[in-house]
Amino acid sequence: MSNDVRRLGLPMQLAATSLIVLGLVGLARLASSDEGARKLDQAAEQTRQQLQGADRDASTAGIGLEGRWRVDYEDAWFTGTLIYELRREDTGLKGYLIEILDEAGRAPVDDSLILEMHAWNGSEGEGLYYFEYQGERYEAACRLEALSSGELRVRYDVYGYRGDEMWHRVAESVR
Amino acid sequence: MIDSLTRALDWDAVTTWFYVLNDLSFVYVVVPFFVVELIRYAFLKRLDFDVIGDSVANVITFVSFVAIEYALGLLFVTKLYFWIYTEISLSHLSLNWVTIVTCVLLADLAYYWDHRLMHRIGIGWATHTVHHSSPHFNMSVAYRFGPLDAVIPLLFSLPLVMLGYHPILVLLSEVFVQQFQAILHTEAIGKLPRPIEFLFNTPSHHRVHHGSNLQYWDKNYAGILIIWDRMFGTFEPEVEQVRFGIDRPINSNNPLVVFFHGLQRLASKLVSTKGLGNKLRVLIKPPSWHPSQLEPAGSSSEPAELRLPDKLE
Ligand SMILES: [Zn+2]
Repeated sequence: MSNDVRRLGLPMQLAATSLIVLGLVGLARLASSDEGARKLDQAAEQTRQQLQGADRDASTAGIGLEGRWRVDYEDAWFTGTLIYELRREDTGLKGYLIEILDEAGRAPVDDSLILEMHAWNGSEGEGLYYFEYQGERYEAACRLEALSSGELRVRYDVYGYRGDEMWHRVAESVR
Repeated sequence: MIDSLTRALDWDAVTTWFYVLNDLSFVYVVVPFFVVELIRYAFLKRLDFDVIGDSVANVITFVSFVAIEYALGLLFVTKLYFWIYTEISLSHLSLNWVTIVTCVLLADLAYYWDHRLMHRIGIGWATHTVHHSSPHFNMSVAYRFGPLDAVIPLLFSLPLVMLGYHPILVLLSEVFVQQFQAILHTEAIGKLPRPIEFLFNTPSHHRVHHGSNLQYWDKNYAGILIIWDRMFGTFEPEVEQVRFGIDRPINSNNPLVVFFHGLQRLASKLVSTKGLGNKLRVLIKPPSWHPSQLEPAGSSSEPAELRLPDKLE
């Protein structure tokens, strides 16, 4: 009845749509930075894990990984070995730093929390990795992958630094 | 000014606001409004078993819809979004007012096109007809969904993730668009002030979208902004009193009939259509398409909507 006005043809409508998309995305890109994007990705990581882990029970995640693990580091900021212990707690699997072995020798340390397991499917999982750097505490989402019963690969990405660690299981007697 | 638009926003605060607007609005808008509508029906002596049966059927289709979406793998969807986001998207965007507003606008534009497609291809209409099949128009109709209503929108939101928007921001924006247009399903609000009616989708514009009056067919696809319809020639103002529903009414409040009538009608059309090519065309051509129907010359470059009442069969 109304709408006698001849409308744009379909190709023109699609072209106009593309132009609008380009304009809006262009604005968003101008208003964004790598640093900002990294912050968002990190802040949103826990929400993602909750969303995807909704059908998995964090309290039972990582059965079989309990025990001690050693990790050798050869970084600019630390050369030596750290011993971690994974323990099952009411809220799930947690990892603690229990010993530092460096040139100065073996030193037991306070239990500081370094890992929280959120999901585990038997061979792969994810969680949060906590660490200290120059006196500040940081957290990063991490992925865990069991390469064998005695080897666990832990990867994380924090402010552009890509961590890739190999954890080796420690027999209790080694201590 | 620019500074405050591009200053990083706190993730938890943003998700909380979306939660208040998307999820909680069900409690502070939809349910109270529905009560007002029931009172209004009673006042106008229109509160009968049909309206009540219709509302019950709407709630049941909503529950079935949600169950199907879960079964189809909501988890798979978020995994797909994140795979695209980490593997094949442009560099990631920040979280600030500019990225949030542009993401909502893009989700709204995507909604326009996915909604239009739902009306204009056979398989899309087979599921979306459920939403349109009610002869009533109230808040409960907003939640009357067809079995596959979430499938086509998914295809339209993937490009947003590819453009670098965080998948969760995309999901929240889509739900925001969906929830905005949900609260327009009412007869209790007439026309709003002109500038609002010009820019935004309103109850009046959306009543037209649900109209079975000929001039109202396939019009006003908008989610939040009606300007998309104005730009793309699918706008129609509410003039004549709207008669709600579809061209072939289902005349039933049986939830099974309501939920499956589109798929059932599509299936019987597929069975009665001869030839594989024609069967495929039934799926992707407009719902009214029939093999005997000659294609008008030049139809490939003309939008199908130019042809008149092609919903009649
Ligand atoms: Zn529609």
